[in-house]
Amino acid sequence: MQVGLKQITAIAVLCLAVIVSMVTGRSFMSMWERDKIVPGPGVTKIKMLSEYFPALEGSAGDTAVYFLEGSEPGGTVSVMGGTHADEPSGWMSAILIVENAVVKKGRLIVVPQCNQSGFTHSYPQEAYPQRIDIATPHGVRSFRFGSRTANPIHFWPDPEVYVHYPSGQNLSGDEVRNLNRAYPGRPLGSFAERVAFGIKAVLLSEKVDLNVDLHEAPPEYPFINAIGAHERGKEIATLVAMELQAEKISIGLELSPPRFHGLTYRELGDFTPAICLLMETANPIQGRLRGVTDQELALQGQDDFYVQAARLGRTFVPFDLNGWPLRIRVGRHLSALLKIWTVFSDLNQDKAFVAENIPSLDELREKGIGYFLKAPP
Amino acid sequence: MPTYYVIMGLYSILLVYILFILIWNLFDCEDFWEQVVATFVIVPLLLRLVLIK
Repeated sequence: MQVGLKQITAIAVLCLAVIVSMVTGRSFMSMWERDKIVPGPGVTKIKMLSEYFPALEGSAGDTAVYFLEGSEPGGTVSVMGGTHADEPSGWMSAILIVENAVVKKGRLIVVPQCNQSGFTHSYPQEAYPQRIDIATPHGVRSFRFGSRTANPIHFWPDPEVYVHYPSGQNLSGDEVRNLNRAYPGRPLGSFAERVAFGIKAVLLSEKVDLNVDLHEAPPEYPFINAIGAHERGKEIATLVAMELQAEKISIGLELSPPRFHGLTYRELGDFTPAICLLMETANPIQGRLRGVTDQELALQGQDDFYVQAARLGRTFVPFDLNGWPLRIRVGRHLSALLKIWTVFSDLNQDKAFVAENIPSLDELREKGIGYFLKAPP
Repeated sequence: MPTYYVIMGLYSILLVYILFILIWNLFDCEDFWEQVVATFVIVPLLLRLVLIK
């Protein structure tokens, strides 16, 4: 057989396709490797979610549950991050707690990446960065920037309509992969419902008294820079909002709508004894009005289109050239958490909880997030 | 889970068949730029075949 020019070019093109596939495939597969979280001095044990719901063992839904226990007895509080993997202030706040906090009284349970599957992919057609890199004194730490929902590779296909269990509420089909629409969950349900069932099992088994779920929202979304509360948490949320306002940290307040189902601060409040709260910060990379979508936007939160939108009154938060940097958003979450625990302890002195060494908003504003991230082993 | 394996098996067979036709045409094509453009189709199909389980 004689090899002509077209065969030579075909082989060259095929080699090119294989090389491009290898490069992009490697980048794609890097999202499957779990982020390194360095347990800090306060971490006393680490469990997996599958220890509470064994059906998750070995699955993409299994995730680490960190325990920070104080020397004095007190209440048990929990913090959830990474319910939505594209809301980095939530999971980064939880990571900073794991790597820095020391509990003096009571117990703290932290799940930094509740929806592990959501961290394995980025949302289609959003141009999200796959990672965010944070400079630390020990070098750069890289974290996956994932998606709002679980990876379709772990639950497919989506139904036309997602019917929430047990309320029967109807949502769009892709919400079947949204962990924060899946609570209280069920053992034989969808992927997200099984993870939700596992997290509910943690709250029940560990007798959690207070749970806070950390989120972010686009600047044009009305529930933003806010604290949301289940009915049993409204007293704490109101006092915390007032105290933060007094400290010039602007924060809104919302009660969990009783007929909006599937969210942590609704269902975990209804189906467990824990007082459940949820917090939101302003994240422009999630918004529809954003411009260039890259790692810089995820980290610095600065966007000219949002500056213009704010001038036109189209945002629910002030938005100037400083934007909403990640360090400020994380600082807001952590400062609010400290306030929540203080107010909870004041109202429930038999279940008081005290933790130290958690970076404040001022410290994060001054030193940045990297300063508080530990060196990986 | 067996349904999943059956569907993914059929999907993989379909992908291999489409890739076979694409590569066959690639070697049959006279126009170099059409061959280059074929990579835009070959790459995602290859990635789907190898990485989507």
